[in-house]
Amino acid sequence: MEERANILEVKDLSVSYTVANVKTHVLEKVSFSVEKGKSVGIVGESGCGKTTTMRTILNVLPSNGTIESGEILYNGENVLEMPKNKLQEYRQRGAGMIFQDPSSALNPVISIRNQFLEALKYAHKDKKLTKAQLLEKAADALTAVSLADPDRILNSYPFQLSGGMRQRVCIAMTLAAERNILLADEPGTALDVTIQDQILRLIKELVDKGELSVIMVTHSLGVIRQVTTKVNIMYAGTIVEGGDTGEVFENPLHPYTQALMDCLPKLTGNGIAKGIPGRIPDYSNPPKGCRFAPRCPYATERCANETPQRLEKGNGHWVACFKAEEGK
Amino acid sequence: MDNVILEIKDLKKYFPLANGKTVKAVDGVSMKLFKGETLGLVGESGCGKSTIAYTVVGMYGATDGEVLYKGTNLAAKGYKRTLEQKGEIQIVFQDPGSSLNSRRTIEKSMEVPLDIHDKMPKEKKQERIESLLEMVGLPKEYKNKMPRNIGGGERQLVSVARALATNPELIILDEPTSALDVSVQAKVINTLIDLQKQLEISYLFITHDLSLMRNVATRVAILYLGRLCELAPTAEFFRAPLHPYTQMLLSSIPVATEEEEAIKPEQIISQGEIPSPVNAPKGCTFHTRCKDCMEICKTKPPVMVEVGPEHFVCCHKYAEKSEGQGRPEEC
Amino acid sequence: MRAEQKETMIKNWYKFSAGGVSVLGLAIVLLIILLAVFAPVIAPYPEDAGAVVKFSESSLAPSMQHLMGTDTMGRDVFSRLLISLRSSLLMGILVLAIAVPVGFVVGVLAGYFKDTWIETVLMRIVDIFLSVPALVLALAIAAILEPNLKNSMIAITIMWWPWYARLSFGVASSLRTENYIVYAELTGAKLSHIVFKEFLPNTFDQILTKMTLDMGYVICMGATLSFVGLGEQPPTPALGNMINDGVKFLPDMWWLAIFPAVTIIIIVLGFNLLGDGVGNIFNVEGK
Repeated sequence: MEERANILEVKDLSVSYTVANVKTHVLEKVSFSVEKGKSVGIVGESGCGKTTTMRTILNVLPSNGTIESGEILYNGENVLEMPKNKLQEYRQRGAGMIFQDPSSALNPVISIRNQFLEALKYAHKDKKLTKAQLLEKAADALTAVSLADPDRILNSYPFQLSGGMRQRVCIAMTLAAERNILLADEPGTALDVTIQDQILRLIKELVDKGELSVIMVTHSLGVIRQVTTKVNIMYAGTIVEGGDTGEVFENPLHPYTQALMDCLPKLTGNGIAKGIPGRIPDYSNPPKGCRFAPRCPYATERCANETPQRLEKGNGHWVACFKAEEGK
Repeated sequence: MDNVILEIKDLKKYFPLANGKTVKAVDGVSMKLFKGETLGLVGESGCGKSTIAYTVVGMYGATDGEVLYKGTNLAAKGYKRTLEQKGEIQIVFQDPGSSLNSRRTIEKSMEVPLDIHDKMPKEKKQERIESLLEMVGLPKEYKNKMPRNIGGGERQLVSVARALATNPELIILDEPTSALDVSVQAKVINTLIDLQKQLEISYLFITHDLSLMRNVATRVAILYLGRLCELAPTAEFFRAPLHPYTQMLLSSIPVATEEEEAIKPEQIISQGEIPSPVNAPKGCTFHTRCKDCMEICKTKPPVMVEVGPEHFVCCHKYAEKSEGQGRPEEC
Repeated sequence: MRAEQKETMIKNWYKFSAGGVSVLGLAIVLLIILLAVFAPVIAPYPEDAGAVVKFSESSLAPSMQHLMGTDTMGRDVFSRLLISLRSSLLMGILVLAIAVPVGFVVGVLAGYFKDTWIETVLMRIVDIFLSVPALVLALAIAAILEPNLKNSMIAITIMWWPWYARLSFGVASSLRTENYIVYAELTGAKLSHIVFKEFLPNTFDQILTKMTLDMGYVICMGATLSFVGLGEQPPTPALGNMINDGVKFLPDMWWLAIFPAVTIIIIVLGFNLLGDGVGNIFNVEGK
């Protein structure tokens, strides 16, 4: 396999759902890429299409979802057109997902040991490993996520573990299966701050060691800043701004990003902005131009009719907004 | 001080379990709430913050201790709250999905407190509901809508408007924005702040979000496993957090800007998990996770001491510094 | 507001008719109601509902004069069937009109006071009623009382309300910790407010769905009682006693038993299909 810088590339992805004969255009030309061994964040509020993006990357859209256009390249191969066996392999060894609520990700009536065996049996089926070898891999992975006493964990059932431990077990499964990409959907949001902090540190550590590439999907700007090196700001199914996390957060260019930063309560105090007026648009009839235009304080006629293209602002920081065209 | 609206004295609330053990959800908490202020009650799951709130509104009785509202002990055995007190102490719940009856219009939901506390002819009632909606910044046409047809933030605003219907003096806010997006949270929070300025309502704000409290609370109280760790005016609290747990909590917060990173206490890697409140550690309940744990912490529970003006800490580290002048209460 | 209501109506019709056959159910039920209401007008021989004897026309097979033939006394089966629809429908309506409110109040109170002695007492009573087979219970009650239409309705009502109690209990016990209930309590709402203003609108969907489905079963149960002679007494026609009269003459005079029997099947089917559609509107699982 040729060496590529980007392990995953999402290109011009558009996805729609059909509900009761009405078509909703949820994702509109979403593009981003994940470098090998790096972490990328997608940040946006509820209903912005984060989860749909994740599902499409795993090619597990619900039956009423349609991929209108675009491709998802995993090591150069389009996930959306993979034959069944390849897709199976991709899901078992390529990309794995951890969820906001770790309790629903594990089967409550099967011991952790058996859940590991089940997952690893498929992931390593070509290597013909014995059960003992698989369990060794599991134990190693559990140690890697700082769970002391892996034997005890393997022998327990999910309900015997705390929320934080369950989330670690989920991450360990991804590691043990030697998956390349971890899709993290709001990991830790359901957990307490101090426990969330531990999980985020763990993910960052694993990325820094080069063991994983991570796509972190969350509504929390703070989480994104702590874990990821690159960020994409998502609004109503479109990515409106992207770049290096530090740069985007220090110097947000899109009015939506700016408003989001202003609304965020900060440890430095100084109050909170008034919020963003209006609501996310109706996906069955989205605005013709920029999807943020109806709520944007700077919107002009042009914004309502034309879709803004990506505009490079240097250092890989780009923004899709007409306002950025004028001046610096 | 006579402008104390609510005083909680050595409040204890234990829940018996089926297996004979007890959960000590709140284990000796004392604090005051002044008129017109916002007291932020912050802690992680199992710290007892919601239990305190529910005891104050009267969902539970107390196992021991007092809840003094304007001098009356609401938690006294056999005490029945007057209708007036029920109107003056109101609550806004966390989950916008369940705080309004999904089968009734906004108007019908808002009639509930009016019908009980302020009977009036139909037309006046309509007017009152419309003006309450306007007070929280919602168009009055909203009264005809069903809860499912409005957003989560708007539903929370309706809950606030409903609470205002009885002219309350104290509103318990039980994580009112934790289920909302930040852009929506901003509107709800700003509305709450404006209302407080206009109406001089006191808020007991239950939350796990310290960043939010930095911008909303007058004073902040930190709870851990049913006990109070630290209580201080907001500015002081964030300038000089003293309790090791407070420091750990603050340093765990994922923040979005450089400036915030700069004021966070030095990196304290959070360790361990929160023990179950069924068998809370002996001595100081935090000693199992504390970076500065001493021998005494494992056996003797610390007492609350006043280390600065209105700045209380419950930790052995600060005990000797203010020998004699603190409040010698177990916390 | 108007437009919103219209939109809801259209949506509900879409959901209702999505199953297809629900529309057929609605048509059947409407037809039955119309026939019952206008029976005295439509019936070609309305006087045949009483104790009439017309020897000259006895035991005639179905023809243009007598669409469903005549019985041994020469009475027109079609006319008698139409008239009997009236008591059947009346029975369904009256039984549910009493059983549903009683069951609702008992169930909601038990659910609201879950884990207290009130729940224990109320739900044990409900359990006792539910543990005896419905038909046996109704037969026993009807047999103790004097056999007539009124008493058969009482018997069916007594065995029917516990089902609504159980349904309401389920809803109420799952909703009692909802914040709007807690809020109403804390603000000082009376029990009657909580039962009728908060719980009722939330139980309504399920009750209405079950009521529609049950109409058919109640009518069928009434026919069963009248079949064994515990309901409407001859000469007044009822679906049950007409079948009873007819079975003696099977298979030669098949029309006597077959037409009332088919009518019962159609009634039950109609209400079932309608109930399914109503359930679809509210997303209530079928019985």
